[in-house]
Amino acid sequence: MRHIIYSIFLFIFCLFCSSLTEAQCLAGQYNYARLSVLTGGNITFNFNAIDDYKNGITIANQTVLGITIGDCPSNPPTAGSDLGGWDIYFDADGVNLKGDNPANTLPLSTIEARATNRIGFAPSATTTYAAAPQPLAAIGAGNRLMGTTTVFPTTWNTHQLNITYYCGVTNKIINTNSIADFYTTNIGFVLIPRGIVFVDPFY
Amino acid sequence: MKKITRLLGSILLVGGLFTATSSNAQAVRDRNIIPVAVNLNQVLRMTITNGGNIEFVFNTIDDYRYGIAGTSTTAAGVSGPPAAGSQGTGVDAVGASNTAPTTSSSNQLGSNPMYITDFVVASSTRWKITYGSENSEFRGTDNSANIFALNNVGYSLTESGTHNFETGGAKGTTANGTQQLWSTPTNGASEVAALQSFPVTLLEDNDDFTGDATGNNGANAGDVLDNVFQLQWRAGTLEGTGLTTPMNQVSILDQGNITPDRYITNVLFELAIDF
Repeated sequence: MRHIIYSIFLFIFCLFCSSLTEAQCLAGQYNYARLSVLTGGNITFNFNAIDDYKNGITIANQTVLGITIGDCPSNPPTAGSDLGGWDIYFDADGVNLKGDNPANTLPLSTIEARATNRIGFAPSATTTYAAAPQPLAAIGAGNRLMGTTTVFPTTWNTHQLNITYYCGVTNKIINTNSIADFYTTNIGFVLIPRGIVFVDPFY
Repeated sequence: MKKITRLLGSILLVGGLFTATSSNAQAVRDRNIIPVAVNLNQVLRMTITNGGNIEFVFNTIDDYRYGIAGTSTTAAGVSGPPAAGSQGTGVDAVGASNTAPTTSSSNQLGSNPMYITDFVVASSTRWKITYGSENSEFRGTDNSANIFALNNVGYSLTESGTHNFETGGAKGTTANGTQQLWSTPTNGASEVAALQSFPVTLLEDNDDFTGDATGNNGANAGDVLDNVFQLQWRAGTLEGTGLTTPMNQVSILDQGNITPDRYITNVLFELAIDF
């Protein structure tokens, strides 16, 4: 009986050992990644005046993203499985914004976003940001906001990004002849690891 | 028993290690969703900034013979026959967009804000203005049986904002994003037009859906600096021959049967979205 108990204990211990190497690593993964929305999880642009329609609306640093990402050592080692960097993309889960009346639509490109460093991601030769606000696009065609080849591992409380939103600044709402309505969509921010064997299905 | 136990333990040990280092390795990405809304509140506003009450007072025979106009090409009080060829020719063309009319209608007074109506439009979408008299004729206030034909009164239309009227002679002719406006009664603001009964589309979008070099499309949507208009009224000036909306070609004097009275009507202006 003691031997059986001992064997079971060994089995459980072996399982635990495999995850002790990286606290965030789960069995069989090349890396760990977690994108957290710390603030600004709901964005609304209100167009009330002609100037809004002609010049657009900017909401600065409205969302704060926390980045948690790091490499997971593989055992036995898998060639090319080392984390080589990561990027942040953003996209939408539809092809346009839809109004309360589904016949009314607004182009995704009227919305733009831009990422800037809040803490831990100072721009450098290896940590780069999109130079201009990037237009929103459908999944698979999303635009890159920033990325790095050196800053990892990171944790959400020491590595954060600000997201600034723009609506109707470049692609002006007044030029879209859109009917007054309440248009909505969902924006997805995607944390994508990079490496030799890291093949993303969309980006 | 001990051997069986050790064998079982080894199997469990190997199995545990194998499980811990599964061959189904993969990269991990993460996505987070933020709902975004754009609340478009319609802006649609017309403001008459000047000349909301127009009154022509006919006191002299010349007034009856040649009419009264608000355009200013002569000194105040000029009377007498109009310049040769100008009366009744109906080809008194209004100047190009954004310039003052050059009509040679008779008995012109000096620049007189009493005969001018200024208005502006602010709209977040393409728009149109429908206008017209709420009655089919002017009616006497002393005796409602006295009537005065609407087409004895006319107007010219100009605009001084950043938007422009179509110059190609027909709506939507110019498709380059630079000509946003059209007016059917005035043939693109190039002619004097007679007052008509409501509803008549006075102003509308030029249906130009292309863009200009600055990225603005041809929509007449815009603010009060884009859409600035002036109506220059006249009465009894006989402008009309060959025009889209001709005024009465018979002078008030020659109509003969107009009973002295104060003839009035309300002219309605309705601003709406132009789909």
